[in-house]
Amino acid sequence: MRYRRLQRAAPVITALLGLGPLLAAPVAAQQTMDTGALTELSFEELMEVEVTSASKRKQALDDVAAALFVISRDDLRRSGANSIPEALRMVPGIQVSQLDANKWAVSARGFAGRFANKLLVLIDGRTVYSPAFSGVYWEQQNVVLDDVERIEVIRGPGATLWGANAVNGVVNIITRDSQKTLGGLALAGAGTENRATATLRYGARLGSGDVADTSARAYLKYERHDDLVTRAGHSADDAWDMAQGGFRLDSDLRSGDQLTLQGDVYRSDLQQQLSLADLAPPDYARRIADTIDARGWNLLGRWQRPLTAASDMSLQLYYDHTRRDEGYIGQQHDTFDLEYQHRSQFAARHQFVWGLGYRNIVTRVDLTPTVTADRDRFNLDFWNAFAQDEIQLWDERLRLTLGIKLEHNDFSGLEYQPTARALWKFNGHSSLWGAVSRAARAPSIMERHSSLYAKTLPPGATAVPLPLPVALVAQGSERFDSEYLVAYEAGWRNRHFERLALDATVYYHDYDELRGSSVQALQIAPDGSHIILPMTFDNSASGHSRGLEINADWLVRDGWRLIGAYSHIDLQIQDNGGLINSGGQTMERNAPENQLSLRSQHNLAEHFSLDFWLRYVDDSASASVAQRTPEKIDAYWDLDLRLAWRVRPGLELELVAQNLLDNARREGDLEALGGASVEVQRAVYASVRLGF
Amino acid sequence: MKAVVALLLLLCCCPGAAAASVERKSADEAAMVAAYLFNFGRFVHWPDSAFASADAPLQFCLYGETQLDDHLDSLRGKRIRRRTVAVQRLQRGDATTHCHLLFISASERLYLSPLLRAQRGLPVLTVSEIEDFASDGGVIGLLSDNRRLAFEINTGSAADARLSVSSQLLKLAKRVLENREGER
Repeated sequence: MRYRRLQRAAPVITALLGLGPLLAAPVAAQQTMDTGALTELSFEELMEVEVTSASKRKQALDDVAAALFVISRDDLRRSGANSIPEALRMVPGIQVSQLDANKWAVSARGFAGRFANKLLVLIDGRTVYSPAFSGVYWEQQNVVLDDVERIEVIRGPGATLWGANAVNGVVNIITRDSQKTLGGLALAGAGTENRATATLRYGARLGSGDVADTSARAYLKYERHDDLVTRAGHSADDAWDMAQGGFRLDSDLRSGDQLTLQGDVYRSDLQQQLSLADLAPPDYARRIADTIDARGWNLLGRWQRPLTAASDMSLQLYYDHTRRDEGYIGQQHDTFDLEYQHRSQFAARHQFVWGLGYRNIVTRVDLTPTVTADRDRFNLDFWNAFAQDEIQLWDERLRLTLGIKLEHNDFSGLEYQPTARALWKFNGHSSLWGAVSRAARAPSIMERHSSLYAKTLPPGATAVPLPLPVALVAQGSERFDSEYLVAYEAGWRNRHFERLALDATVYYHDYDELRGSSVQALQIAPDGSHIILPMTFDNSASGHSRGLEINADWLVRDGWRLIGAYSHIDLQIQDNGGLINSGGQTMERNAPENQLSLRSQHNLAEHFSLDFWLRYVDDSASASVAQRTPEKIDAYWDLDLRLAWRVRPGLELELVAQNLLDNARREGDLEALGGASVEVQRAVYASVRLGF
Repeated sequence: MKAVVALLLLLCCCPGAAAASVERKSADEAAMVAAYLFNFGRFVHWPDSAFASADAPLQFCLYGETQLDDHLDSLRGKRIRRRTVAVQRLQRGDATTHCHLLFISASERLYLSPLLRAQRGLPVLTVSEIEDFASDGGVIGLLSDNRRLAFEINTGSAADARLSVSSQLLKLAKRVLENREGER
């Protein structure tokens, strides 16, 4: 099967690789000049030289002693991605799989799953990580992709600066300052899966006066997505739509202060197929067609102020309300977050940052027979303090960063998360960095206070045949504590070649007190109808992972760029087994061992660009607890193509074809409660982008 | 599958890729900025009091995080009028009073007000790619204009710094502003 797919992919790959150089040839006649030659020109001549910004993207990466990857605006647009998870597929070390039309599993360095709990995600400084389930509802995280400045992805612990749960990585989505989004933008698109999208955004300068320059933008966005298919070829009945609106206001005061106020409001209806365990033979599960009703709003304010020419402070405050109702649970979270940060430079060699933060989350849950809890309202407080010093040890060549974050949460108490990083720049073109850090993943409400009726074993299905059905219940426990990681990382960056940027990272992650579960004594249900087999969460598992992440960014010639990424991970988990498929074996295997991504960005002629994106994802194991032994998810190759035509400044047409190599393929399964496995389909869409 | 390959071939071969373009000169942005700085040095005159001696060098300073370093090496030692160009890298917080031309990196946007305040009354030609730099009290602001690098000049700020800007440079500027400190 795997071989056959490869064979099918082969001609396309050859065609793409073979054609590339051919394509690039005719557009050539451009002369790139260096500074020496430029200074020989008269000023008038100089002003006629075109600026290429080939080296610009390297800048942000070069001086960071961490495995950082930046998705630029250009990368984002040219990927053809319609959502953030899709775009994240380009990042080495990140695993992305689409589970149904509206659900994604995104993780860094393994531990994949719908509720991947070791990746922290921020949108403009606002955490979108759900405290109840320790995961991210990606389908509810929507931004106008055109207004994104960049997405910074850090693999490995980022806990010192970003906080708890940034264990295996941080995704930091940063939208543009409203001064950069002046004027109107209308975007409309339609396609086979992405049925309809429409975005309208308008930005304006509100005032430029003696005191401040103020600008703002507002947007509305709507999108509707088609159903995917089940493996049997039926509709997966998982269509969804979403409407969102928002604004951002930025004010630059003459005093140097900068103020930002932004907010969003959204509502989304998402269909899903559930399979909820019950006691009725013959299936012992109830299949229901369900619609998730998700909505929310948020408001964020930030104030940055320069204190001297070398120090500043920032104060950020946000409120986030989310409500999500679906077949097995209703949940509402109200988050209030306050953060203060102070940066200063002292003794010329120290860049010192410290900060304080407080967060309060009030969660209300509507319980069902599937999900129960010992109470329905939770009020959680989180406190943190951090400090970090970046020290220039030897000119700019050797830099040491020491930092620590202390964080207190109501479940596991005080967590300390230190890091030590060093960066050595040598021969002007290369750098080496290394880091040792400790990170903690705090328990979720689910893991402490709630229980999930995951599955019924029919009578006689157990190893020791029992006359009654057995209900498997995953139970939270107040003894469940944080999970810990000590990470050892090293990286190498090479900028020796003018047009080639190479990045490589190796890591060893040592996990301790990972979530496992232990089987408790069987109980007969009070009415005698079934047996309850409780499995309580504990910290009995441990493990380690080793991996390699490589990124190569090659500007083949002006107008043609190739970007390749490769990731390898070897994850080993030790646990005490467990009766249902949620143990270490699955955790080990549900991250694909090898992943490859090759992107080509090619300007065909002045107004046309053709981009392709080829991906390989190794096989993995299904995370579904419904299967007795984890099913294998096949490895796959896939290809996206994008053709864009800039008709005139401000008007662009785009045609995108995704998943060209497979009609439909399974990328992964939901851990629990999901219906039939869903396959991702080939898709085509076209869009018009009009700036006015 | 065949259809996909055919589509690819079609896409790759059709849209006027063969149209040979005229020779265009292009350069990396950092190299361009370096060349502009050199030219600003040629078209701006400093008062004699700005120099310790008749043959003292013309001091270029780069302030903040930039990637101009490599490109500025080729400016080092070049002559502008009878002075040689010296180049120095400065970090946030370093003293800037000895600089004749101060290039302020975009990384310093937040610190711009206090930084410009520190230059007040000194014969320093401030240049930056920070947005609205000239109207915020800097001397020369760099702009990007249809894939070319352009600039605007605030003659008020230049006068405050006792710099005389040649009329040729003013002609090439995309915009000339005249607001002086406190007149905004």
